[in-house]
Amino acid sequence: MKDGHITFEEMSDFFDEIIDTEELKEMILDHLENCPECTVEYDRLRKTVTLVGELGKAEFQLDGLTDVIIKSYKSTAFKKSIIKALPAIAASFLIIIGAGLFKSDLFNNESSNTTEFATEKSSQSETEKVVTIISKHEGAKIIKISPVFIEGEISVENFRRLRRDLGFRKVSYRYASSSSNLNSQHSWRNNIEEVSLGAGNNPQGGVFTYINDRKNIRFRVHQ
Amino acid sequence: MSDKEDIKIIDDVLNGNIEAFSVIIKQYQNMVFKYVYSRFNNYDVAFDITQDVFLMAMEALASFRREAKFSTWLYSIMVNYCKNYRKKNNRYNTVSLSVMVGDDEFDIPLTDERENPENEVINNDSLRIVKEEIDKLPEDYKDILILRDIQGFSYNEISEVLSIKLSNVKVRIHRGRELLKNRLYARGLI
Repeated sequence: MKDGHITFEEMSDFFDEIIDTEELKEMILDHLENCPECTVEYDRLRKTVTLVGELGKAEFQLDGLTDVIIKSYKSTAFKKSIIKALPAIAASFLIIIGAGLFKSDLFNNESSNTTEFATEKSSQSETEKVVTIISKHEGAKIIKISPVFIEGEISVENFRRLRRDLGFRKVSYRYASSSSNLNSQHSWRNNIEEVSLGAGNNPQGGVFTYINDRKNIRFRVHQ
Repeated sequence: MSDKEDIKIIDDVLNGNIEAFSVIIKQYQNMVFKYVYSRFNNYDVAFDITQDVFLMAMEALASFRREAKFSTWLYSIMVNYCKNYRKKNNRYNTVSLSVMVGDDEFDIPLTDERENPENEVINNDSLRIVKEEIDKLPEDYKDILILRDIQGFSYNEISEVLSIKLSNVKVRIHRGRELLKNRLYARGLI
């Protein structure tokens, strides 16, 4: 109540029957019976709500709406399933194409590719062979493997046997000092000599001599 | 249809029986359409939006948490969709369609030749005025009066659908009704 009259909010709540207390409800009812002003206001509210409610009485024909919705949903769901499957489809497609290319003549060309491949294979085998030979000799160390040579170091007493086992391969060698750095670039300008198996000669007159503390020979097997 | 029956149908749909959802559509299509039509006053727009609302509900069905009634959840989708639709379409300027004949300009009449049941209701001048005045209300008041006084939703239902407190529902109903009442009074209707 305000200024001796019912407020619009109280009227609206009363109209919708949501007044909290019986006491207030009774009070509003009593007041409406006795106050012409509030009665007029309440009547205007009632007419307003009633007129608005009349607008909701129209009934629309919505035939076919259900079918349209169900069809549309099924179509969208199908499209979404295709989109979800696209990565898998693309991957399968690539695998099939890849397999096809692999089996095709593209990889079975009789040109120099085959020769290069074979050469490369045999080179690899040669390196492995040399490494295997060196490794079998006591005290032998492999220092460097390059496409051009395999460099190693071995004691003087074991070098002869190693040289023999390396057979036809071209070998350069020199004395290695005890303080030599395995990683440093040695000058091969003072190579002792290149020796072939058939030479039958020892380097420097055929005698390996211990020079001071030089107990090792640094060698390179050329590839 | 009770909420339990709604849940049963939803479970059916989620198990793969899409067609079962048609029962739900038939149950609620009038309610949804009436609300949307009240908002946009255009049959085609209301029809399209009604479709979209049900499609959204179907797509989001798995996320329906069953804490509220299904109808409340559906109407929330409906109200939010309409709000977003209105926002999106308010970005575009409307252009009047007219044709020049010599120096004269004539508007191209756009008429909907279909039978519109609401026309029968609002052929009555009074109701035409009421509709005009409702359309002029601020959106929040228009929404709430449509839900309360046209659709007949309870205060609690409105609170859940609009995700606002009950006290706010009451305040908006009070203000919306008072504003409309004063305008109808000013136009000599009440």
